[in-house]
Amino acid sequence: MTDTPAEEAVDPGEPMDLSPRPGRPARRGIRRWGPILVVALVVLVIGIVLWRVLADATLVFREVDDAVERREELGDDRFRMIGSPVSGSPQNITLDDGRPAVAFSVTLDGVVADVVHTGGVSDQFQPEVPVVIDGHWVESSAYAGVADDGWYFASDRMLVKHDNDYRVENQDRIDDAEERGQYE
Amino acid sequence: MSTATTSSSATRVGVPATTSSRATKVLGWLTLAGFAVLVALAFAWVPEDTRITEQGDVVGQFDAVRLMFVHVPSAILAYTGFGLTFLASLAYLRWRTDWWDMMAHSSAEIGVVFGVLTLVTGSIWGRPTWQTWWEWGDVRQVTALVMVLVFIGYLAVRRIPAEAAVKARRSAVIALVGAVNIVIVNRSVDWWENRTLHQQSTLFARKIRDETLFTLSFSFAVGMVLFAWLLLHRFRTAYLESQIEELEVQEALEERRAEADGADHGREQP
Repeated sequence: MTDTPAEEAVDPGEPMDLSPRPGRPARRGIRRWGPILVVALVVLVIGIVLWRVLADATLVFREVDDAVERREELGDDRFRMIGSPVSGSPQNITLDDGRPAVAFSVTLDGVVADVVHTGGVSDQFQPEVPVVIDGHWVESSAYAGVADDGWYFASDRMLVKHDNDYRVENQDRIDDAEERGQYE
Repeated sequence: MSTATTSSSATRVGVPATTSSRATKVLGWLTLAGFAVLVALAFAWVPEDTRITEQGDVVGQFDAVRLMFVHVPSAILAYTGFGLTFLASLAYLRWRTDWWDMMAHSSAEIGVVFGVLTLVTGSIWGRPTWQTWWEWGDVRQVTALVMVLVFIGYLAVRRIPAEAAVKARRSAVIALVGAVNIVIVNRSVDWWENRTLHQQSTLFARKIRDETLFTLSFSFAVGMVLFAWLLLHRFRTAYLESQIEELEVQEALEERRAEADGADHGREQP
């Protein structure tokens, strides 16, 4: 510590000033308002994110029975529908405009709806494992599935909502399926 | 993280020069051994998730389910870290001791690490099971992100220059407010069931096979040992930092006194 400004300033002939050094007034504003600004920014970002998620009605999953019941009311509105694919229902089709699609039916609480899906199909698309599909109702009998009620749900995005069941059931039947090569 | 050397001054006056101790060594080895056993259990003992439906279709998450043994304990440890920060902050506001402030700071840092790990592993698990890495409309994902952001903000506020007591009081208040989100994150899958792809609780519903339940419980135990190991090291690092700051102040004072003595001595000589 031989080259500090304090030591350089020492003059053996003069008494040394040991009074406390004044603070830096210029930084007081930052010290005072900095934390408040940071907190305000965090609160603002959190508020926007929560508002975006909680206030956006299109992000709510409508269950199949509810969506079917409100079909007239929903009209062409885009929404998310949740239901379980009916076993054996998926089939590859070609739309009138030449686009490839997958047609299947979803069900919940005994109500069935037909779906024509033009987006990617999840690897986890399985019977009885609920899917969330984004789209809207179309009144048409062009693609009749299990429901065959003159409507289908035109979707272009599919997500899978896996349940919380990790129990094993019918282990003997799973073993049989494995032996038959139904899955590996 | 086994050592954190201090300045020579710190060693000179007897402040420990390391955060390691017999307890941390035992915890460290237990963590390593626990991880080895956990990997073996998760990949060799626990079967893949499969079920067969009444129509004869084989369904399930298959091998993706093994991510559970990292993701779920990470979330539990994040809750633990933030929960401990909440309790320590409460204690600080009551007793105003550095010990509680350092505890709150240390556990918040560890909580953020596990919170980020939870988000990352959840995203990795979401890709094969949900078909998406991230879903902005999912309340569980978004509230978990908000929880981590709040505590990153907490750590940021701690780094803003201020008097130690002011800094501690300010961050304690943020921790108390931020901790509310722990409950929101945990309950979000039940409160907003139709706004999340995330599954509801498996453990409380008892919908889990024995091998999976045992391995998951074991992963909690290993995680808790890891948490204790990290917390001890981080707390001791915080303590050493505070000691160094104190020593630096003392050294600065000594230097100023020496300057003054030197000046006086110079004046006495002809």
